[in-house]
Amino acid sequence: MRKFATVLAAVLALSACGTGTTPPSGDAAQQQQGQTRTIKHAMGETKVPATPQRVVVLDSDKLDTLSSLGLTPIGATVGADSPTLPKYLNLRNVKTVGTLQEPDLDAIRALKPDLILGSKFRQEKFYDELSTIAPTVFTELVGITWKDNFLLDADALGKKAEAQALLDKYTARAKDLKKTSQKVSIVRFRPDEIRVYGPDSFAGIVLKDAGVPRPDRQLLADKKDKRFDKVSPERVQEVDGDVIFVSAYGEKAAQRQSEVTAGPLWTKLGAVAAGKVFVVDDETWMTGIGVTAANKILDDLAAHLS
Amino acid sequence: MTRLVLRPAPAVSFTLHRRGVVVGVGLLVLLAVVFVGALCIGSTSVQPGDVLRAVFGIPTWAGKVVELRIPRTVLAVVIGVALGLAGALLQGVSRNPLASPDVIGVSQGAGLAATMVIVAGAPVAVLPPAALIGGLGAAAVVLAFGRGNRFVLAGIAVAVAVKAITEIFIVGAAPIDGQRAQIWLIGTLAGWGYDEALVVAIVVVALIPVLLWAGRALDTSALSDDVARAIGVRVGARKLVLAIAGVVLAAFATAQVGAVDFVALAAPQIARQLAKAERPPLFCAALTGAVLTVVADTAARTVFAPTQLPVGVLTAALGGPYLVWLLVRRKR
Amino acid sequence: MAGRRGLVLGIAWLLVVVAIMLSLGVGNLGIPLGDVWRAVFSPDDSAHTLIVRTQRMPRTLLGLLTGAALATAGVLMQSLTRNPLADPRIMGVSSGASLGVVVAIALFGVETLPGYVWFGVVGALASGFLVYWLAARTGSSPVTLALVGAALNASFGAVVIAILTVDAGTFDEFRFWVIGSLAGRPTEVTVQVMPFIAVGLLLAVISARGLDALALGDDVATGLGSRVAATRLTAAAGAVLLTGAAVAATGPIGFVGLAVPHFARALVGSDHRWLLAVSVPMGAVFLLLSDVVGRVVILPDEIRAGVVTAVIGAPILLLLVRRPKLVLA
Repeated sequence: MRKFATVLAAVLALSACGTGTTPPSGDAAQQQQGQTRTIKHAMGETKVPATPQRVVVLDSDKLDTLSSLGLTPIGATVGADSPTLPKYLNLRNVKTVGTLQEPDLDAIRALKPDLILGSKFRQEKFYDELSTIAPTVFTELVGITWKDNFLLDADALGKKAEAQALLDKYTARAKDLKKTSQKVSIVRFRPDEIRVYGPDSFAGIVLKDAGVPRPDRQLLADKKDKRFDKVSPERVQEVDGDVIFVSAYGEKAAQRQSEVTAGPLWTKLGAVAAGKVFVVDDETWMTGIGVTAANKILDDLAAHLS
Repeated sequence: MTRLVLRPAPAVSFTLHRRGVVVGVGLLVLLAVVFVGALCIGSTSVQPGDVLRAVFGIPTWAGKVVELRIPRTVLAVVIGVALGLAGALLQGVSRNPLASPDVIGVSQGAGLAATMVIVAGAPVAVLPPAALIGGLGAAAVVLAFGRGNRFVLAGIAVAVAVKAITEIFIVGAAPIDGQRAQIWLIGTLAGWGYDEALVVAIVVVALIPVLLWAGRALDTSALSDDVARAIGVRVGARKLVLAIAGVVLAAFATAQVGAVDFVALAAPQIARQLAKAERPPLFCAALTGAVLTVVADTAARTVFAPTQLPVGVLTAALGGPYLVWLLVRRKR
Repeated sequence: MAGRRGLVLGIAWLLVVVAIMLSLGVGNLGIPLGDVWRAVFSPDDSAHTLIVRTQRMPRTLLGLLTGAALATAGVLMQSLTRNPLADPRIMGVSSGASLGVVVAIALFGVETLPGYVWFGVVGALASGFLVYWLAARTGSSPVTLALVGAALNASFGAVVIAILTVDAGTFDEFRFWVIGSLAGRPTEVTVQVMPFIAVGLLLAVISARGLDALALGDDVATGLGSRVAATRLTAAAGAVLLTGAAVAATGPIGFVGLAVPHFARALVGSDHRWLLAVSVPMGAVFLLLSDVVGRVVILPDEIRAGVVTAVIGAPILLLLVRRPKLVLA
């Protein structure tokens, strides 16, 4: 009886393999043509092809990186909670290869990439296996070092000069922004909590570049992690500033946002009374983390800060 | 039931039952089949012929694809072995088919210790010993409060309390540490491979002499303790050693990949059914555990692709109904 | 005897008042008591008043309602199954309700409580049936019943997590449906759940007499003229309704239904009318105080009420497990 079961299992397992795709004709390792460059990155040194054509990215900031440089990745991971690619980047024909926390190595392998860009913070344990698929370059942190990350990824893509030019243009534009003494508060609604964003967050860095002052509460002076902080619903008054930019992450959060902003505590905020509350795109202010997103933040600042 | 008694050394003996051996061989074959199957399945399907070629080093187009899947599958086997053994030891010692490290709080204890380590920012190397201490601590509390058939119930209470305390640590931590702890707690084999498998394999191998030495204690566990004492077996000490061995195996497995529920619970009983034995046979339980884990992990990474389901979630979803079924079948 | 029980009842309701005061006065933001008083009795337009009235008051009311509901459900379940370990969460009924609600939200897109509470009730009903049926088959010893409940918890809980993992829910969301909380519930929820809990409590009261008779054994009860099946049905309906509603409102919160009936029994004996009368305020107090503790213990972060009740309740369960005989005292 048991023998039969074993045989049956064998047959089932084999039949599952039976209808495979025809073996692909080439292997990614055949890119022996052309030179390679050596890139030093968070996980060591890697030789990458001179002009990568098939790039897989494993974190959202790299989507912005590629898009800003006029490239399109062939594959990308998505966040577990937001299964689509950012709309502000207009990327088409990008295959999903798993989530930020768990990239689908099989799917990545099937795309036959010649370069993989990932993040040590998120995917450290996958590095060795990814390296066997294609040359893999990891940036160390997310958000706080976005400019260095941009340059590192651009270097791996063979477009370091263009990247530097884009950054310089952004920096000049930020400096040129009309100076203001208005303190700007950044508030974000997530499904379960309300957050204010500090000087080490992406948006916080852009505001710093533009010389925009922040309310004391959002300087997060006494916090170890200066990217953001939770705000209890009882402390809604703490998010006040001369100007408030608000965003929401996802549908549940948007519901929460409408509830809170319709409430009496919100309407008591100084900025609300002065009509200086502006809803902005969560993608560009929070998850984009790249030079295109940064420029869009500058657009918002220029439009709303008088 | 025909049996064979081996005496490789004085005071060391163990009994092989014919049916147990046959089942064991059958499970080995099944494991090989399932292993190859796991290497076939994925975004790119590979024919078993190519898989075998790749495994034996013969060049084939599928070489790289299969290479990628092997470490994870090997890890699944090793983890399954460790968990199957852990469950078999605990269930054999307590004569209770519900005594499994994840039901009685050992996995949760390991999880709490690991969370405390991560939240405190300690180096990653401290995780396995910390998880071990957490698991042993939880087991100690359960033993202190639960006697006889209350043992499992006490375990459930401890598991619930420990999980709640773990949550307190996560909520109170800096967001980045809290995130890392949460990710760690969900049992998943993704990204892990030979290194983790090696750690667990070493533990299993190191414990083999212990298992053999105390083997007789398990056989006499199936009799009552009185009879065992009458025969002259030092019941208490051996039982304790085996229980600790079980906890050690579970804690080390959990320390490497997070909590993978159900395997330690089900594998021993399935093996016991197959071998028609009185208590879960260790070798067969280990193999059954391996088969279950490989199958669960393969399903977890393919069924909802590209979304990757952590294997711990899949096994927990299966474990519940199995546990219910088990309880219904018990004649009270 | 009535005197002593009356005293206990009086003290229980007094504690309710204390708990309400604490729940209104204590929170993430320190609000001076004078402001709290003013907020309740002579509300003005200040931020403190608004916080107390729009956030703490609904939350307090929610805690009162669901605490009472859970404790009552616990009484009913313990009497129905003659099992001192019965509690909506331990018996798996809460996670069944949770699964029902998650299915409603994730698969059918039902957004608001009046919609998904029915799914919660159906889920509670289904798991209630399962536990009952399994109890009948296995001989319903207290330990077995608790184990069956734990098994159902594991099953339903994992399915909840799986649905929400695949359905791209955030981690925060599904944590809520595994262990519940009083925080962050929209105020409509509190109001919308009231009728369900009211009906459930009514059903409990109606079945009180019958449950007294049932405690003597089915045969005796029938001999006394009590309608055993009707009582069972009413009590079960009440338990399921209360659990389903409570879970729909706050997510699954355990141990309130376990601990409170035991204390109540110890204080006023097993007459179900007194038992219910005392369990209602005591349940409210237990949950509310747990919630308050959760608000302040690790400031500025907050611990969910369900986590606090677990940390308090699990040791109580452990102590119960140690008892030589597991019978309804």
